[in-house]
Amino acid sequence: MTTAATLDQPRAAAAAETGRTGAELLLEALVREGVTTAFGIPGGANLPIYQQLPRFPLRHVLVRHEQGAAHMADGYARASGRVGVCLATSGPGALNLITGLATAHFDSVPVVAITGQVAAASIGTDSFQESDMIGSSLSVTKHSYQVLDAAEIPSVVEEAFHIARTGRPGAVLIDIPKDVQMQRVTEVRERIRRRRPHRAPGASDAGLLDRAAELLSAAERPVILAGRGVAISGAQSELCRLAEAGDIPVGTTLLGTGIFPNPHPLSLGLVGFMGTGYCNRAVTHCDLLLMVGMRADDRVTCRLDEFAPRAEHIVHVNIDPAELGKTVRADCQIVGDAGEVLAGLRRRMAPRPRPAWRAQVDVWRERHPLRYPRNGRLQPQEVLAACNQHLGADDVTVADVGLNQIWAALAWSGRRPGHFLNSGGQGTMGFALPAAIGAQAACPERRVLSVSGEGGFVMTLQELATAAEARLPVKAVILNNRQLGMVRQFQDDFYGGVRSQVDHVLTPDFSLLARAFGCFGATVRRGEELGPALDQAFAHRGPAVVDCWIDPEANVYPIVPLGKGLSDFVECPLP
Amino acid sequence: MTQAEPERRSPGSDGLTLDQGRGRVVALRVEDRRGVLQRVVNLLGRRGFGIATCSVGASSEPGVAAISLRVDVGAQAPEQVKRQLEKLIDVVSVDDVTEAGPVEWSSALVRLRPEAAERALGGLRAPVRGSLVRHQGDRAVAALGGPPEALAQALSGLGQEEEVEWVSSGPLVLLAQPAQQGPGWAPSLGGA
Ligand SMILES: Cc1ncc(C[n+]2csc(CCOP(=O)(O)OP(=O)(O)O)c2C)c(N)n1
Repeated sequence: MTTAATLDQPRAAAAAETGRTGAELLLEALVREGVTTAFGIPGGANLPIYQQLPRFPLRHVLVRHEQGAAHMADGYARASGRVGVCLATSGPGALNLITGLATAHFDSVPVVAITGQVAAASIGTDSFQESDMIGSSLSVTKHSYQVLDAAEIPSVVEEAFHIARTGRPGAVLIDIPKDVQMQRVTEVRERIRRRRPHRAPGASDAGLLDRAAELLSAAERPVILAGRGVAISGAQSELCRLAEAGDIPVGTTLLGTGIFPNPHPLSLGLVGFMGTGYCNRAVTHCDLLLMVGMRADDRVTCRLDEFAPRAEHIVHVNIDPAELGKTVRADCQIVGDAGEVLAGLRRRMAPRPRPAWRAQVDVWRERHPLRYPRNGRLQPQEVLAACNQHLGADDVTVADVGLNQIWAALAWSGRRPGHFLNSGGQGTMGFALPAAIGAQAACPERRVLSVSGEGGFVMTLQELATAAEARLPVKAVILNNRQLGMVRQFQDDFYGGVRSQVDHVLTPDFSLLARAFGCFGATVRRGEELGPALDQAFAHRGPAVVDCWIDPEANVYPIVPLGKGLSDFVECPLP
Repeated sequence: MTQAEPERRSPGSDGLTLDQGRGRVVALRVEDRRGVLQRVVNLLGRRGFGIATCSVGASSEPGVAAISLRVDVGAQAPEQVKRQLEKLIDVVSVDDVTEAGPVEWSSALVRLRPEAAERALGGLRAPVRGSLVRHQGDRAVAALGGPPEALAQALSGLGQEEEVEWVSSGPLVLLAQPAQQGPGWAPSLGGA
């Protein structure tokens, strides 16, 4: 037996060497949080992390632009419900994440960004590639940290993940100076907190639930509007049960697409600015409005003082108290988890058929159907319908921003939440392709389709290289109208028809570009080319791009003119 | 049915006056951590709230700083101030004490000629108080304290004196009775 004395010395020496660096502590903590995939780009200020990375059971997807990393982490999180992680170096790398973090944060998506920072002693001296990431990210994150002692890294990471995924989820940033990444520590330290960083909303106030249930039961013409909060809470079947028990029609926000079955006799489809005519009519005529898991921004309400003008009562349910009374001032405000509240309401309500109200909604449904012109040119709806045939119930569609987004949302035939992703709050062009790549990384067994206009597609198309390299076989469909379509429609409809800076006179040959990036590429200029091109794209084992030249004059209808109320929607002119 | 007003008014006005009805008095307790003031100020600014006054300092609880605020809510609903501030992770508690009739106390330093200082101090009326804190050369500095409105009045009364210069603080705020602690209080990071 060796004596303690002989053992101790080498042990102490080993401890000094085996004491872990900040970078190691960080990666260990990520693994402990269950992170298996991260998206990022190395650079001067995060090299210590990248030096350690190969030793950890983490898949790192090397992106081509940090905005792509943030969108991929976002798409990963939306598709899987897990926290998405992205990494960037200091300065331009970290700043490039900002748009992506804002996109995720606005849509309540849990993302943790880890940025390298210049050495602690250099902070504030404008040293090379220094950027103030706490200041720059304040308004687009739920919280942020600058870690100045490696011993705090484990508890910071734990807290950051907790904050990102609890309550109303959101983005969290951890900024770590390079020397802290290299700092060796043998003991870790807990951060002291005086308040739990996220309060679980307690059980929803029973008195308020009683009141809301009473109002709902008494209403003659109730409408439910539901948003992404219902999906986050996993409450779609609860929503369905409540609607069916009370015979209450349900509209969804853009971010809520998919949380209520569509078609369904009670489905009103999309509400708001580009919502269905029958949904907007129902909201305008309802005597009670229940809004659940949604914020009610101006894209939903349009003119605020004409929103639900006949509603004697508005019940608003959100997990974030600050969303209650912020725009629509509901008289019954309930803080709580959507699923819990919906279940609580259903338990308090006797089933009640409302045939007269249903019949009225059906009249509007018939009077204001979604329709589009058939003029011999390829219509976006035809492309989307053909795409849908290649997608199963479990597959994922990610839409970009613009006309393509609304067409895709309106056409989407899925039934499951979390399978139609888009940037609702920020409306970030360039979201779809990288978010689809992230979703594909999260769900390798599913098909993932991205739908973009050519304008948004070129904003992040370099990530085709990421997709090809990382073998993430997303299928990207471009609804190519050679225009910034939504802007063009706004100019036509609301700005005197002056088409200003909306024509893409030169659009690249996307199928050639796709091949240059190692992907499959095809161009569709006529309807008959569509089927074969999609067949090939979906049969291809790797990522694919199908560039569809659609009718450049195709618009989204109905649309509510800017500054008007929901009921003033304009419909597609009849042929 | 109450709806937000259709026309949004302008964001909170600048300046020190508290517009009737739009002003909220807020007692904030925050983790005493680098950058916490930046978070509070950034949030108020970006939500369109005007900061009329802000006093920052220590509190009786170790590790917790106190921030006393008078905020102009601008176009927002009054309860938004508390709800938004509560979202900040480093905020320990927020009390909107506007209606609770809190004790508010501001202080001021006044520099003037010694004879004038004597006059000024002699002319103070309760609850404003003051004392001479330094006499240097041909100048004296007096410290004044009192409820913000009364103090402001006392200070404006000094206008007749020659070469007077003063600075004043935003009020500190404390409830005369302990505020009820809201839910969610826990000593450390618990499960949620
Ligand atoms: C990053 C960014 N820049 C600008 C805008 C404003 N914008 C909204 S829709 C749109 C046009 C989108 O054009 P395209 O991507 O071709 O899609 P389409 O509307 O034609 O389907 C623009 C410029 C935006 N939403 N995001």
